Amino acid sequence: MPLHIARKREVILLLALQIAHLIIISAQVPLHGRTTVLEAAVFNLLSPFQRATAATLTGIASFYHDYIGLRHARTENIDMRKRLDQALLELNRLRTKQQDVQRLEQLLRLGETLPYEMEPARVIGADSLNPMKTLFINKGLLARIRHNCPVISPEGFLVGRVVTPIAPSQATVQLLTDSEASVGAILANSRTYAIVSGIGNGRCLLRFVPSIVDVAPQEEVVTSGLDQIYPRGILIGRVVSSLTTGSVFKDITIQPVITPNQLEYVLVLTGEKPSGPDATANPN
Amino acid sequence: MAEKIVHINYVRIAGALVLAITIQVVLGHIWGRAHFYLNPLTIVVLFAAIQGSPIAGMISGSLAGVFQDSFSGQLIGVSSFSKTLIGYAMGVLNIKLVIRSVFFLAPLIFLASCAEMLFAVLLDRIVQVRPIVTGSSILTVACGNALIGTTIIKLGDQIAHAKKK
Repeated sequence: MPLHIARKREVILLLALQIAHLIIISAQVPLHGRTTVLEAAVFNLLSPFQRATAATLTGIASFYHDYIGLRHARTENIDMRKRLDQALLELNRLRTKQQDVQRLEQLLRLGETLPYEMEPARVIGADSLNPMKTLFINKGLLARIRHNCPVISPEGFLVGRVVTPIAPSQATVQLLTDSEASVGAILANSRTYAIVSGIGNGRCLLRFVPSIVDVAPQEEVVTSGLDQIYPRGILIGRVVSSLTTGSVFKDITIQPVITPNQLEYVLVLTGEKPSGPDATANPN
Repeated sequence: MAEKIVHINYVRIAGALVLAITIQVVLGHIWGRAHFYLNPLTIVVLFAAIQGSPIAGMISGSLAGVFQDSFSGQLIGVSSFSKTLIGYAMGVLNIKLVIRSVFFLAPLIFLASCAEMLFAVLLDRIVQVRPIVTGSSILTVACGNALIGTTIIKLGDQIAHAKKK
């Protein structure tokens, strides 16, 4: 086909197309705000395609966001677990501290009520071979702790006494459950004097109680003060069993109130509190 | 001046237009302001006109315009009218000048894009319909079209050159 004819055909095609476009445009010009038939037809024809496109894209976007969200959730989960572990550690640390504070408060209250000079001390160890024998505390000579100073629990129950060796900042406590320990005692109901001796297994014997004395189970045994070591009236334990064997004395077993391996703090009685107005004015 | 007769593959043009409208729709969903920076349909029209012939430019312009108007909610025929005109003009210009230099191609695409949108605005004004493009968006779209269009046309040239070899 010659080029000039081809060019004419192009121009004719252009004119035809543009006239067609103008007719189509004219048919759609809104009159009095009404929708034209062509607009409605095109809208109806394209709306399913647009809906499908929108749904597909929304689905892809949603999937992508979910995936990203899931990845973030996983990372966040690991991070939160770490933080939870740290928080639990912190919680345990604070609980321990709170318990320490409560015990110290208890010690302080007891120290205020008893007529003795007291030195609170932390239990830092126990006899590795027999934990019912001795304890070690973190106070010593520097805190005016001397040999035979009585030691009580924060609740006010008898623990034992300070024995050698005593270091400037550490001391040894002989527990009343030690088989070599003895304490002057008195039965709370019958007011019978006796001696409590440790037997090394966590319990003690109440010795020299005459057979004629009635001893009830769970009867309290307190210090008598006759041994010149322990002050009178400190609770030692309760009667577990009382047997009459035909001899002069009964075989009485008592259960000490304290549990040595649960002690964390103790009070060492370093002497009697000075009393009277002179003493208050000048304690030395 | 030498003139050439090019056989046009209308299936490819239709495929390119479908791809362009898909890109436009997807870009619009991902980034709401995408239509302020690019008009893939205009790029296809200019590509068809420059790589093909004035007829290819016209046909692709008409189809692209119908696509664009249908998807943009504009009066159908407005974009078709302007794109057909630009497609034809670009095709004729390409025959007369053989546009291949980047420094010539990019400004030409920029101007063609501006003209296409200005025609559309003019038609909208005539029929008293609010135009969907603004003055600033005409410039940004023309810039985007010039950048992407030049790249695509030069790539097309290189691919065609490689095929010939």
